[in-house]
Amino acid sequence: MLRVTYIEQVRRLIYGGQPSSEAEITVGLVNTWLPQAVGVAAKACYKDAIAIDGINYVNNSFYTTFKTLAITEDEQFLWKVTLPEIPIGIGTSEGISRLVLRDNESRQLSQPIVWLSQNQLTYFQNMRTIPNKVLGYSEGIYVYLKSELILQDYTAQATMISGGLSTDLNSILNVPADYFPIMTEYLRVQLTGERNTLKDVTNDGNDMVRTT
Amino acid sequence: MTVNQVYEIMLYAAAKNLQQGYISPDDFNNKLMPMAQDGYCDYLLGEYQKFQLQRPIAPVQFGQTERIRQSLAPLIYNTVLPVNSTTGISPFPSDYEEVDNMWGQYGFYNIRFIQQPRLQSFYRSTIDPIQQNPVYLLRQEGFQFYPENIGYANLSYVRKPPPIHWGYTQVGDEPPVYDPTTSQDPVWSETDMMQIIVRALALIGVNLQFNVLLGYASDIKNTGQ
Repeated sequence: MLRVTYIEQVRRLIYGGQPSSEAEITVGLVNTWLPQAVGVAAKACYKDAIAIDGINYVNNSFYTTFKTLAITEDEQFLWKVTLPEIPIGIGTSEGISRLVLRDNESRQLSQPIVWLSQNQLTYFQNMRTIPNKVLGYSEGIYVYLKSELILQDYTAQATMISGGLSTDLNSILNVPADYFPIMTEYLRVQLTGERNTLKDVTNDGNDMVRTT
Repeated sequence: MTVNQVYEIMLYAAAKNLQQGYISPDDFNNKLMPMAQDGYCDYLLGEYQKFQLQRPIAPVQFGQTERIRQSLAPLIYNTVLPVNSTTGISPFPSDYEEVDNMWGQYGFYNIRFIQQPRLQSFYRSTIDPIQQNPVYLLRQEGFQFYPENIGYANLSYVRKPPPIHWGYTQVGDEPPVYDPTTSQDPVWSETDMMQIIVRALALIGVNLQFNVLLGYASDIKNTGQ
């Protein structure tokens, strides 16, 4: 389903039909709630996988590969990639599962980088290096790559759990259909909460919605 | 319904219900019709005088049903407003009564009405940036748009009802004679015009039910004044 179609579906649910020009639950507002709803759905999928299969994983349908991510130098031998959004926080590496580098001249892709946990960061330099592998770790919206190679001529491709490109409303919303009801229920609760909250409509200097 | 028919119904009703009942053309043109029309228009737009405490809902509201819109349809006009790029102000159209809807010049994107106390919230919104989600306020000078450099805006609005005028010629002490060339017919539908006539008659102390007036109207159609 297109992101914009799902947003329209949610708005119609909240307004019980086509929203009017005065609607405060705007397309932009629903779009900002969507990553949270996708996170809730992915977490439910993760829990379902453990409950049903006994294995922790998130279904492939939740994953998106973002390409042509620029690589910039952060420190000596430390390179930085900015992700389109902060990966969701489930599992050790389910949030961002894979990152490869692309040589734009030869179009070759590197082998996936080896992820380090924050604990491993404290001692990995004392360990033997892994041949032909780039090590990396993620912090918030950034991925840091440890390498003596000059990486800024390459671009990165990151595969991570994401609803897709939130800035493109006409992109596909990467969620399997069986998890849409979880997202819809989450959004319905949040957005009807906003809609039903009493508003201070008087301009009297008091932040009050009721007077006695 | 022509203005002559309106005037005849009112004369008929006045003659039947008032002693020496007569309505002069000047009273009809300058007092009764303007007041009755404006009153009915106000009723259709939603009389805020009838709001209850904490409940701003009138018995009849503009846009409430297709029927109410249908009554006001002769007064709903579209125009393109040029907006001063420095001040963001565009004066009201000369016949403007109330906004129906406002949208952008290119594409059907919404331009939202907001009240002054919420301006800073809308202006600084990062979720709905003002550049892509323009708003307008109502001011004495006209519409105040944000962002100011919006350029143009499409406005659908309810205009003031055009005057209803019974034009006539009069020779000496003879009764005035209807002159269609100097007259202006009402824009309202027949049933809405009946409501306006009921209001006009109430102003001269003739309080009729709508169905009684309908009877008068059919009397005039069948038998003449």
